Amino acid sequence: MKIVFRYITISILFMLLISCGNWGWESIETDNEEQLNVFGLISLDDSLESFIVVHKTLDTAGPDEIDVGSDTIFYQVWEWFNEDIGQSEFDTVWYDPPWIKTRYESRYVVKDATVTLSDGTHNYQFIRAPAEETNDEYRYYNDVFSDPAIYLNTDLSFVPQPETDYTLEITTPDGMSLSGSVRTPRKPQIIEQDLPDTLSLKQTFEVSWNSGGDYSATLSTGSQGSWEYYICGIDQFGIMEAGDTTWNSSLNSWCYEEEYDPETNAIMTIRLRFMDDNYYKYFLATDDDAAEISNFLIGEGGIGNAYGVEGGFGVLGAISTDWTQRIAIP
Amino acid sequence: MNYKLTLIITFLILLASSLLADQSIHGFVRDDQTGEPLPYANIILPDLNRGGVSNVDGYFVISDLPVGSHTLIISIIGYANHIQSIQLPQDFNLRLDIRLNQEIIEGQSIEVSAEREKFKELISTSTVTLDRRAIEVAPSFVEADVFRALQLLPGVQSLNDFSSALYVRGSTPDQNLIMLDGITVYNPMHLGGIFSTFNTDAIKEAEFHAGGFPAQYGGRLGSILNIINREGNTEEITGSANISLISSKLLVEGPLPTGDSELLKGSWMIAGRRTYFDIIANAGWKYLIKPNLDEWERSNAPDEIIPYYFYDFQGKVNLDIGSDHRLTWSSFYGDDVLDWQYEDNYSSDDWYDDGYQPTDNYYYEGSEKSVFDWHWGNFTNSLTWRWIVNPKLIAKTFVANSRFRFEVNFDYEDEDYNHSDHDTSSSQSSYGFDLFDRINDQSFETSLTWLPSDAHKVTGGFQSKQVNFNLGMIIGFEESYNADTPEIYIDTLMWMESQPTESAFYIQDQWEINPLLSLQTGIRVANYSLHDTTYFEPRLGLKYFLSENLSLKASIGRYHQFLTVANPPDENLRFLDIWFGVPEDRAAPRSDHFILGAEYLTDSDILIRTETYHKSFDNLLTLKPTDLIAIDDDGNLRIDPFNEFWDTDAYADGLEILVKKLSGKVRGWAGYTYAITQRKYAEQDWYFPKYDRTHTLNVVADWALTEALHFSTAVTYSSGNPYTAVIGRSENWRDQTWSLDNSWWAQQSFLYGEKHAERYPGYFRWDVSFKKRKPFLNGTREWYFQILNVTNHLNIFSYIYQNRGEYDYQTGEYINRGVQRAGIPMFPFFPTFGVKFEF
Repeated sequence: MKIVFRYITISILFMLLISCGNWGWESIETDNEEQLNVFGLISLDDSLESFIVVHKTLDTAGPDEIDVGSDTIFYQVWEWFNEDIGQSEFDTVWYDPPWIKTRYESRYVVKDATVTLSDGTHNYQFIRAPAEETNDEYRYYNDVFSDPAIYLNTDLSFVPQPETDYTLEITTPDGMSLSGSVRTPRKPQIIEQDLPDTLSLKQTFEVSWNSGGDYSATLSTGSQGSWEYYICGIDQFGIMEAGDTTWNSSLNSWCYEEEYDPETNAIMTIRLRFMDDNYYKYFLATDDDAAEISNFLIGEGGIGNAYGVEGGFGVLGAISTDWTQRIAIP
Repeated sequence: MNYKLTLIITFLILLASSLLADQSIHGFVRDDQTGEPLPYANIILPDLNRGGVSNVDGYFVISDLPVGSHTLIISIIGYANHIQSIQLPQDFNLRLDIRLNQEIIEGQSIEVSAEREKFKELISTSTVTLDRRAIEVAPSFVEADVFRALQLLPGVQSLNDFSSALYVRGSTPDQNLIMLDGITVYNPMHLGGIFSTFNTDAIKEAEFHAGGFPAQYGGRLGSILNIINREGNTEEITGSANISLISSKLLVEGPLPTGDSELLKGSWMIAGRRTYFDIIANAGWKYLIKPNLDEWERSNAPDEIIPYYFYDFQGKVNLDIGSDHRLTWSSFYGDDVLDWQYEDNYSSDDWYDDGYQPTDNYYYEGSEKSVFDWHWGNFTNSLTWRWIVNPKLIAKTFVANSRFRFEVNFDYEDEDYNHSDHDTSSSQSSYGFDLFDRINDQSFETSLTWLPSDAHKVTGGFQSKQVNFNLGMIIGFEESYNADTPEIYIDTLMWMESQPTESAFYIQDQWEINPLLSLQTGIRVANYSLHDTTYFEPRLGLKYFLSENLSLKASIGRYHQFLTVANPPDENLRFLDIWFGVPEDRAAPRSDHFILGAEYLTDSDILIRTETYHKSFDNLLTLKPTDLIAIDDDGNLRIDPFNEFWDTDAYADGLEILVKKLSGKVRGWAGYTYAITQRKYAEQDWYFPKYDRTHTLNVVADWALTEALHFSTAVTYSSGNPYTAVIGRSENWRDQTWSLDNSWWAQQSFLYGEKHAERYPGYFRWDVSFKKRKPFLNGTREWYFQILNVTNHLNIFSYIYQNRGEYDYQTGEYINRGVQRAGIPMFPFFPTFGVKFEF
């Protein structure tokens, strides 16, 4: 019997020795081929310029940003608001020795692409034209207008037309390429005469417009740029299906508890936006969740969506917009 | 109505035909000490070369016997043979209730005999019966568990160590019909699936059909598990107590106090279990740790640190009324409870203690109270009436109620009062949140078993089941200031309710065509109240003996399921099944089983079984991950996540080999499974579901080192489960959809490859346990010591990823160097122990 126990003990110790797994973090390397990841928007909105943002995917190895040089910083000036005196003040911080601050650039951005948009008759060149070079720790949260890889039609020759087919071609010197196509929606038109001059947010109101044909639409309301005149319930949003021509506001019961001065009013902006199918599917359609992975263990990600583009990821979309304003009262 | 009429007519025809006169013997075979029925006992009339076998209730009948005097031998290995002479006059049915005395302790050989008789008798493929001892042999987590034992059988797979849910031949856990004494049990799990709800001490045996099950079973696509509780000792009061690291169990059984009545006899059994780690941990905290904290920490510390426990009770009562009627009541009640409370009273005196001095006779007081009450569990009751109408006709009628509830309740209240010269305001507010999933199943079933001759066993019946589903979420708040009329707001965020009824009629015949060939044919006709369709489910089983020890088996069958679950398709932990009736506009999920197998029982009691199968699945419902929160037509917030499904097809193919050693000092089994399961829906081409494991090898052995000392071990190796791997990094373009401002940006995310295209490393686990049994007072005491994952092998539960980065404190910059992953481990090396008393 002792021999039996001895064998069992030795076996357990041996297996324990050979079987301990590798617990901890490990680097993973894949040979996933880099592909372009593009966001192109053809805008028939007068307040918004058409743009193409050209990024690419990365494999798992290496950093997602590269060192592109450094700045020597001797001092920095910080502005802060002094509430006691009611005005801004400046503090200067001196570095001795000087701070050698490394400049990083995202490896996702593609700065040397050739971007061409075509309506079948004319080709329109889009040239990289970032609003400003950004190099701060918040760059990942910046919107596309400050992206280093935003491409614009700098010669202003491109004037998008409604219900027109456009194609996109992007190539890069290292051999990546992507093509895309989109049909612009028709111009929406809010029927102004159906809307009263003043809208009470304690009652529903209806916004109507010309038919968008086969295009989906969104309608947003709000007090754009005038928060001091905010009224509860002024911010509303609706997604319309193709063919819808009216939208009804909703009443928010939470707003009933708010008390306002009888004279309170605000300028309410109403924006109606038609969009093509690519844009709708990429940004609004919930079916996209099929391709998304969101898990408390493995984090967020997806297999990559492509709408209106081939040879890579991203979206080529088109929007057109109509605006109007009304006085809103609680 | 048609069903009832058909049933009555059938019953009358069978009754009339059964009454045709002949001579027969019939009765029950029972253990003399406990009164438990003995299935698969041999009943032999050697001078006539006739015989039979007792069924699972211990009942036997041998008909068409000649008039005269005969010798009857009743035998089962492990018991002394019962030999008696019987006299059969003309047209006489002789009733015999036989009691057998055990010959060998622990009844080790009974199983051998039963397996041999099952080998001869059973036509159904893929059927395994585990008795309590086999369940206890299989190592599990902390204490014996029937589901953990089943996971070691070929064809049964587990998702991971943390779940005892059964994935059988490509079927998901919701496709298993799990019954306790015939009652459907929904969500039979404790502690988020780590334990099953069934207390093994109370189990007599677990009958498991992995596929191709006969017509009496339906309503599920995958498998049938019927757990049969012990009937209770008819002779004396006995019991057992079991203390493990997490729970204590107690079982008591005995005869009903019917005195010397010949008309009424019976038995009862009651078993209970409760975890106590909450009691120990909370007592340790309250009396040992908390008193030693400093005053501030003590005043802010909770009274309890573990607010969770579970408990369950099982009971069974059998009452024999005369020799032909038996009533059986069976019940189960179990709950998991997570109950957390917090209460705090405060006032401006607290500030004075800190040195604050009031300036205007200011006094402020208030209180807040939170209650989080989360409980979930099952409550089942059934009553069965068995009537031996005549020796050849047995009727069983069964009514049952099975309720599952999952209820989360959170309440928060606070009160504030100011008492100062210039402020006497007060406020009261309370907030509440309720989430619940309730299932109430009411079943009625009646069946007739007709034994017209030794060659035929005909079974027919009618089953009806109404299931009420109710899933809801309600929030509310109440606020009042200065004792004004309170403002009350209550909103039902989610309310889903349905009450479908499922009914079925079935008939099947087990026909021994000749000593070599047997056939089991059946049909089940089902109706579902939300559908207009009548569902036909043919079943066919065939068995052919190539030799006395070698048989071939085949089964085919069609199965429908009318209940489904709205669980995420790729969940890592299956905590709760959210059940629904299949919606009106959806076809009933369907599966066809094709099984071919061979069985060989050696003379040295080693059973070798191999089976290959193909299962196809159609119309499965896969929950669509839509937006959790939506705005309804009236502009109100609604939570409505369980309405949309993808229509899903699937198939499963496999080969299984089971080698089971039934006697000797070393007993156990080795099982190998080769399996492929794939699923497909419109948005996703064929893929391997998360539970697919290609190769699985299980070895389970119990070695009786001495009569009192046992060493058990289980080794499992399997291919890794599939997962979706990160293959790169990308960015998703995001927009501020609702805003008037135009804003789009790129958000970093991982880029995943094809769904479930990669596999985790192979799974390996070696568990061992030792048991030592000694006499103790008037009974026995058994110590057991168990080690899970002896080799501490890292089995991956899931990978987590990070975009690896380091903060450089010298430069103050964050440097990213690429993607890393880490595996979350399943059970590590884990020793447990316990003690069991029997009296």
